[in-house]
Amino acid sequence: MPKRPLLTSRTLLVVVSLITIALLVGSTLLQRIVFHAAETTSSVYLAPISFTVAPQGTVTFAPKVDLSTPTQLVGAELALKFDPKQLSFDRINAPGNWQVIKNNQTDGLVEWAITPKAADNNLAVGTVTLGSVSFVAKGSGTANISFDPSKTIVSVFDGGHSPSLYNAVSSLQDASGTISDDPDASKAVAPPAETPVQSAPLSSLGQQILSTDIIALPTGAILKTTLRYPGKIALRFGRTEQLTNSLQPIGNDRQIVLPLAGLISSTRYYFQITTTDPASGSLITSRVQSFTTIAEAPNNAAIVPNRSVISVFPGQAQSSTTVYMLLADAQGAAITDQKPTLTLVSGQAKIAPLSQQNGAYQSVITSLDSEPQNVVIRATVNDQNIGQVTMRFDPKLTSAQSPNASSTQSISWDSKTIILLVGVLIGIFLVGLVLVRAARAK
Amino acid sequence: MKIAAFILAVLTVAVIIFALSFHPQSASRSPELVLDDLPNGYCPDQIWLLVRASDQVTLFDQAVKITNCRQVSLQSIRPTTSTTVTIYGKTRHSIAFKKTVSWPTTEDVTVRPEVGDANDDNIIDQTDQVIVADSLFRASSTGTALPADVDTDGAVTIIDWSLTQVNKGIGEGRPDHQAWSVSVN
Repeated sequence: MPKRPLLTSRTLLVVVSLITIALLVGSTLLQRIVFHAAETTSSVYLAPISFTVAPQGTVTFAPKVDLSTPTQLVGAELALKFDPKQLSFDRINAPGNWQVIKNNQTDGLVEWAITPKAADNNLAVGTVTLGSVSFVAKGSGTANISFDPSKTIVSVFDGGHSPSLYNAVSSLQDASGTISDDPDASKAVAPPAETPVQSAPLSSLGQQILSTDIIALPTGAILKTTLRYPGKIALRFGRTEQLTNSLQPIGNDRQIVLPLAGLISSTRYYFQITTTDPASGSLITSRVQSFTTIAEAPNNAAIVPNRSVISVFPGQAQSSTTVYMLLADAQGAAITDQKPTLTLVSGQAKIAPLSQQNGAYQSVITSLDSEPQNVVIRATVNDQNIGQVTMRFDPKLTSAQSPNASSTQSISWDSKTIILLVGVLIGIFLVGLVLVRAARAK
Repeated sequence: MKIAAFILAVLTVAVIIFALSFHPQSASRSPELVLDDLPNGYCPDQIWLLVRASDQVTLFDQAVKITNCRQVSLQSIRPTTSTTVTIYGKTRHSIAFKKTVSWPTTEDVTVRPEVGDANDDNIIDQTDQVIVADSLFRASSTGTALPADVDTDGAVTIIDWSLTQVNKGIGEGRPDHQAWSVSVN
């Protein structure tokens, strides 16, 4: 009796064919998946944040950078403003293996730029110290030292981000203190300059502006800000970096929505957010950022889901949150006077009627479940699917909880990838069908 | 017979996958040269483009307008036959790049110009770092941009210096060995 081979030529053919298909599917999907590296952000502050110094005494600060992700530091530019009647600039020290490549002092302002002495590909992690800066107390009473937001830059390089080189400063915190003859004045001296090294983030660090997101509208904008702890935010904005307009402090929460109205369409606006650290009373200022209001689409423009925006803020809430939606055409211009509909896909929630403001639609979503749940809402216009958003409701969520660490990477799938995936699955099903029929026939 | 049907099914699926994978973005849309990974404020008006076919014939050699700070239409490049072309390009304060592509194409061509060439000699080196360091903290006034402001955002900052640090290198030379035109500078 002839020995039967372990694999027949037919089985081998089937196995090889299936492996080929699997490799094709895998390589195609990998081409379609886009990895977005998260941008590194940093809070810049002076240590100590508050100080007491005797008249004619020297106070030394260590500028510190609290990095959100490990990153390569290429250089830093720091600018401090102070009252020249109270303080006079004394000296700057660069961290070890770093150098001051230029410094400039004018009345009430000192600015300097530091860089590594040699190209350094090591990643900086956590909190880094960028040398030190010293002042001599001249007057008496309260003295403030604040960063100039337009001139404070932490230059980082990340090959996985576009652009790969950018300013990572997201918030600044000033320092304030007292010039007096208090015997404790000599304690207000920071450690000597050191090389930027890994250290744990300061647990005692107070308020921070964690993130800012903008939905630009034709005549307004929706500004979504997340703080480290509940607080109020104030806004300065304008068509130039002079920021000639301001909004008084609002909110008393970690996540605050600030609607802006009365803006001109297709125009660039600059803005800056400030908040106050309740512990030290010091002012925290974001860097000056900008957005451009969008145009209004012509009457017959068609809605393009990929250019439209549907978002929820906050993404996690105790019992209610708000869905924001902007309908846009192929050019990204806003389409208004539509009748979009929000429908519940999963979860138990009540959807309030949509209202329209400055070209954006919004609706409050309220959880109807006493237990934590995820709710999915889909937006449609005349049966055309615009997109869907997921929100998390947790009745035990407290506003004072520590901020959640953000994911360093996100994966986005475009609609074509999903179509391709479905097509491939159908193809595999057909091949399987042929195989089954062939086996049965045998 | 069944084996033949099976192979046919496998081939059909493979063809579908490849067709979807390499399907052009839009048949009617002309391809663009996309300038990627540029500094945030960098917005050059024009780029000098030189396109050479594989037989060394120069198909295109002139300045082209840049739209939206990042896009360059390749509609003007019309080789008479299918060929492989090499695209050379240089913008202000960047060193020249080159990229070889099969032509015609319906796909966008993405390049990553390296910015930091303060003196526009097509080399990013210590000389550029000195130029930038000397002008740090200065702002460009209207109509008189500082050469050290390599990212053209209106001010000479540590970002400009950092660009001269991370992008150190020599740009591509023109294939005819001429100097790059200063008209884009």
